[in-house]
Amino acid sequence: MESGARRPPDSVEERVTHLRANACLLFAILATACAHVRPYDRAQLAHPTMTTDDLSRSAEDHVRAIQEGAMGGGFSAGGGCGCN
Amino acid sequence: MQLTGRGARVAGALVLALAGTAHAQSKDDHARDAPAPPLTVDAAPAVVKASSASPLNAHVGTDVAAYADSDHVFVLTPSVAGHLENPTAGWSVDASYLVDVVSAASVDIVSTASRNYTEVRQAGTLGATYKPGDFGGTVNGAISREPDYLSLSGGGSLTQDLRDRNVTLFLGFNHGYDIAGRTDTPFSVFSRTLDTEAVKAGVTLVLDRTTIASFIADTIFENGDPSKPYRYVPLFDPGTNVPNGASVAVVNSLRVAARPLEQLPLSRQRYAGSFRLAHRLHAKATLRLDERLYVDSWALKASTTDFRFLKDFGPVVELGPHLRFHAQSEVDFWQRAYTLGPGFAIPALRTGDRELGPLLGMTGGLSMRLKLGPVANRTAWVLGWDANVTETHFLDDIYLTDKLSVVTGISAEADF
Repeated sequence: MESGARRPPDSVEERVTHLRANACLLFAILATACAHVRPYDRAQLAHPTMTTDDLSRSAEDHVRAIQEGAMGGGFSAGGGCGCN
Repeated sequence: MQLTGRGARVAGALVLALAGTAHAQSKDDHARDAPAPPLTVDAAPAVVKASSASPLNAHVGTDVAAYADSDHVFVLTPSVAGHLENPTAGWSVDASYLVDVVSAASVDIVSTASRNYTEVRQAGTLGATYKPGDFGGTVNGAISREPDYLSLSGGGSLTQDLRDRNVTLFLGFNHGYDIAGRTDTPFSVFSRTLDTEAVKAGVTLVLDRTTIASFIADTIFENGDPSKPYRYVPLFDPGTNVPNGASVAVVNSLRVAARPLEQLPLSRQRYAGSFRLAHRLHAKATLRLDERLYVDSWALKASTTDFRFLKDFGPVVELGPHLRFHAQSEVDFWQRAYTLGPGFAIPALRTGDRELGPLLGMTGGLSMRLKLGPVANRTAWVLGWDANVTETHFLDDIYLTDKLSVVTGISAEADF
């Protein structure tokens, strides 16, 4: 095993630059991957089930926020766990 | 905190950098085409309504949900919600209110010889959106109150449509402030606080005439003490063998006299990435697939996969199954049985929250919507029902190895 000199850690500015570059690249890929759908072609997309919102009931989300350590936090008021 | 600011700056820069060019392009396109339905990452459910003389659309809904599990916890949650919008002017306001009635006699309560209890939680939300064109913003606030817990949160978000609304960018921020206390004890005498900052950035893509996808990144930073003020953690002598799922009687026979309160770390950084795909099949069914990956600074890692198939049976009935699978690892300070250290030292970090332990959860459910409005606008009146059964398997825990829970609810919605 060769134990060469370690590369010094990137500065914060370099990391931000890399992050920006990666984000722009990802966005460019995503933006060009989709077709250009005209407004008059969107009848299917206007269906209520074709939303990007979560379709779960709020009570269900609340239960999961309490009972699964990976859920919860963030964008809804907490409390009311029914646990000890 | 550094990451929060960095993430916000990058996402903000993307929004601002692309806003100008997109605005010019979409203005040109909109001159030729009719306005398209907005697609947002986190907007309220779409309200499709026939044109009428009034520029205002109102949507109201009421909902009653019930939860019960094999650990003797029962929750009844009635709620109401309203949405008022002026699509021409581009503004809307939302409000909701709910009450949770919780009745619990879980094994955690039994193990501490506490009494069963019934508690009421009230929660309300308020939001306003202004989006006259491709660019818009939302502000919102929420409050949740129960005898020993107060939670306040507020935030805002920005949305930018691009490429004739085939791409939508979203950036949101939320700040939360929670106070946990003890029943019948004023917060001034005993309380623990928790500050939460959350940043959410996402993009929604129209992939073709029948498919949309969204990518969402969440970062959540929590600072404060989230330890439960009622939760006591049993301790054991080193070398004591405590079996998985040991009963209250077995634990009591093995544990030492000392039983300290739970103590969790005072900060937590949580990161999640989500992907959601919705596809319309032959104009008669919708297929939805979600995947969420999660990791946090307590070393908890998780994967959640959610699948729905919603089929139209004629113009009135919509019915379909729901499947969900959740798997998570334990936090790095998790132990099934905490033991005393040298000199009878109590472990600095300790928890009895099985939500922080390794677990698997499988959910199966069914949902139905009846669109009872007039032929011209079927969704003007909608009745809904759903039920989900979850089997949770705790892989390394005392008291419980499995829990079966049911959430069911009925709802009624109307447009005016």
